[in-house]
Amino acid sequence: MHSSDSNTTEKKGVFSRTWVRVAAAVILFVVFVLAIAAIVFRPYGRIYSAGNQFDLVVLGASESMWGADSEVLTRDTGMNTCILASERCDYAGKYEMLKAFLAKDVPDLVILDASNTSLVRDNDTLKEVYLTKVNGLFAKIGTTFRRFSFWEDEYDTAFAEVLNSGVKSWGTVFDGTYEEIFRRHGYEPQYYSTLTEDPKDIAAIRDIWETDLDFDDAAPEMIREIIRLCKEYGVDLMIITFPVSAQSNWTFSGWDKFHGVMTGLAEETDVPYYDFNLLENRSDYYPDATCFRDFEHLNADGAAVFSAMVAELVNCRKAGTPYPYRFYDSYEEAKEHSYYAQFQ
Amino acid sequence: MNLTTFRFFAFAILFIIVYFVVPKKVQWIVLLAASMAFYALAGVKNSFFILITSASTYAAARWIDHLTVSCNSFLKENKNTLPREERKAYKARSVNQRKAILIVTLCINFGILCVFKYANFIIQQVNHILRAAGSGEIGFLYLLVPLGISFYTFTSMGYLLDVYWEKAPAQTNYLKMLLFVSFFPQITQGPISDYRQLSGQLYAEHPFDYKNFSWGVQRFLWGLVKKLVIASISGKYSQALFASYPEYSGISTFIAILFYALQIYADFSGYMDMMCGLCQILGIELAENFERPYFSKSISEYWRRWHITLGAWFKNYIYYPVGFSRFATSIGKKGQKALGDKFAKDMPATIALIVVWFTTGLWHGANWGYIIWGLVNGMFVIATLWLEPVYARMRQFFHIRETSGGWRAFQVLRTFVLISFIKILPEVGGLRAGLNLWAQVVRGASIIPHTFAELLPFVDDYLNFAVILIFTVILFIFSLIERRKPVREAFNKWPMILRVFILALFFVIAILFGARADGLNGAFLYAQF
Repeated sequence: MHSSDSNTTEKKGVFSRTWVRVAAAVILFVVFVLAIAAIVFRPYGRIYSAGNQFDLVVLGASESMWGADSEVLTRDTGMNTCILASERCDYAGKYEMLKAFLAKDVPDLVILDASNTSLVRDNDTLKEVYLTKVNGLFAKIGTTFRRFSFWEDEYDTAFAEVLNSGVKSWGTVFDGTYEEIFRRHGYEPQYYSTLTEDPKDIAAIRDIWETDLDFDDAAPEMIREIIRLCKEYGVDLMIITFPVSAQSNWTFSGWDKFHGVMTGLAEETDVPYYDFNLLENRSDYYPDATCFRDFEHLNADGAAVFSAMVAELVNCRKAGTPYPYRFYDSYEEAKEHSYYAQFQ
Repeated sequence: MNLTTFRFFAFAILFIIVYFVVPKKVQWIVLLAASMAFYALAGVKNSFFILITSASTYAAARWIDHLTVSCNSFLKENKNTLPREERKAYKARSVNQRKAILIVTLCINFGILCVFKYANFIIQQVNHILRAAGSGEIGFLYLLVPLGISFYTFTSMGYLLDVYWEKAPAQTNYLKMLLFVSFFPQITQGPISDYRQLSGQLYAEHPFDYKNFSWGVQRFLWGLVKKLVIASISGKYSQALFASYPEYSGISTFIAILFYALQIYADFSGYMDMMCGLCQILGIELAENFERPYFSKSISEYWRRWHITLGAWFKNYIYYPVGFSRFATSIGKKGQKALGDKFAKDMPATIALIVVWFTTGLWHGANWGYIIWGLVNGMFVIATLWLEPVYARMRQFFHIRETSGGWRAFQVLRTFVLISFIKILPEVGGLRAGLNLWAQVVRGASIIPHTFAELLPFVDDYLNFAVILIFTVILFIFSLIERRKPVREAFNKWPMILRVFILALFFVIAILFGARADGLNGAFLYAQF
């Protein structure tokens, strides 16, 4: 009896000691990983420049990555242009990118791509203000695992290079890729494929995303920060909303609210703002069928057409002449246009 | 499932927890379930073929074993009652039956392997002939090769041969057999395990052991660093140059070739470290596949230290049977009188080596590049065999001491450069491209790089370059130290907090600097074989 008890105690002791050591090691490991990840987090810190080589910078997310053509802009404006854009970038990320860029190179003009998705996006890139939130910390650590790199001599094609293809974003581990999410719901993926004109598919897309434009209140704050930064460096700034597909405009609600926020900001800060989704007869310039690569992004042809229009806008602004294109005042008005009607 | 994804990490963590939580008697069932799940995730349809292989191997082994046992007991029982001739005839009948079962099973399983891996290569060769004859062509087959088919076919056929030769007992439980064939840490890239070494461990009970856990985790993370940092970045460099090598200098091409050698070693041994680490956590010791191969002094030695289990498979199941076959030994004997004892001794070995190296090439890939690559390796091994007396005389003539450090360093360096050059033959888009790359090292010698960027045109990011340089130096130092004493034993004497910090640092570096292996989507190179 005595011997058996002693064995049990010894076994329990060994058992608990072993597991305590394992738990301690695992906890320490996780803490160290998180700490190191937080310390080395510099998503937009690695921006190179030979110094003062660019006159025009297009600052944005994937909309400008795909939708701005630096060659067209350089050719038509005579300003050496680079696209400073990163996929899934929110306004805090754009701020960080611009800050790092301005430390090396001060251009004459910055065009801020005010894509609507940046206003509603979860914070992929964060400023300290978000770190008070637990989810912000997780997002920050998650972002650490996706490194962004801009190559010195390839500014014009600079894009977010997620170097580690093996380690994909944390979200896809649990939810799967966009394509997988679509398939789970019984639809063929539409997000990266050719746009559909079938109202049933469009409705399906809307159901799957299950979200309408729901604004992140911190985003306008970051736009103000970007405006302040440009003023500090004496850089001229224009805000432009790049066109998304007409289908996208129709699929999601809340566009007028978005427009209201942006025009309010523009008036408040006296920065010119143009929303190219509201261009009159937009389908004459960049129709969904031929100028878009997917739901939200222009393709190369669309980018060339659109960049030429932006270049014209820049030239008009420099020359002080009126811009020849007209815009609707609201999405409500735009939706009355026949092009939108076909989706209703 | 890609092993460098968080999906796999989640899978592995969950599996380890379940493995140690369930009653120890059913641990092997957890292993089997995890292996089947891992395999099914790569494609449920393909599981069909691994089931065919495991079932046919199981049935054949049981049948062979049954015939062997009945034959032996019959002979024993009738030793004194039956005449010798009758006993001999009975034994011969039994041996023939066993041989027939063996041959049919080998044909089924190697047949499946051949259809998936070699059918298109054979069709291609037939089409060459048909084109020359002016007739129509045969269409290619569009088949998706089942995951790890080369590895599991060799593993199971090795087991069957061992049963046939009465070296191993036949497994009586089909599910246990299935586990041995499909054990997921070895399914994609080996090792090609010996049944006698692995099976007992798979079915045994394994209590949780802290030392195994910590050592296993260390090895897993070191493998991850090797794969994601060293292999991926060096792969990016070499592929960048290989894509447009005619533009670059000979020295840059030479360096890119060395980077490729580094990539393939770090890639394959990284995988092995990850899997051996995972198995060590479970208390299972996988067979080692590497023993510092780039420190070999000759190509023969290199192949004893690189992909050791594949070499052992070829040695046990091809080299010995062919080398000791009547055909090979008779050729040796025929030439003995005219050409001496050395001929009689080395000729059977040479015949066996030619077969082994031809098959090794074919095993790696169904194209002429791999076949030539195998034969070039074989040529060096055979040359070493035949020319050893000449080398000995040369060393004597030049007063070279075999044990001197300088001579050994020269041998190691020479072997490393040779191996690096042979490696790229099939790997850069076919035999012609490989040979052109060799030529570029000489042709491009006239291009003198004047800057660092010209010397290493593939380096696009100095930080990445610094990281790969640091880790390559660490790898080199580890290998040097490992020769005298195990590095990990010394490491494990450090305080736990420091060890965990270093591992966490390695992990973050692997995640941050791990580069995409272009065209492979982060997959391991050896998985293609």
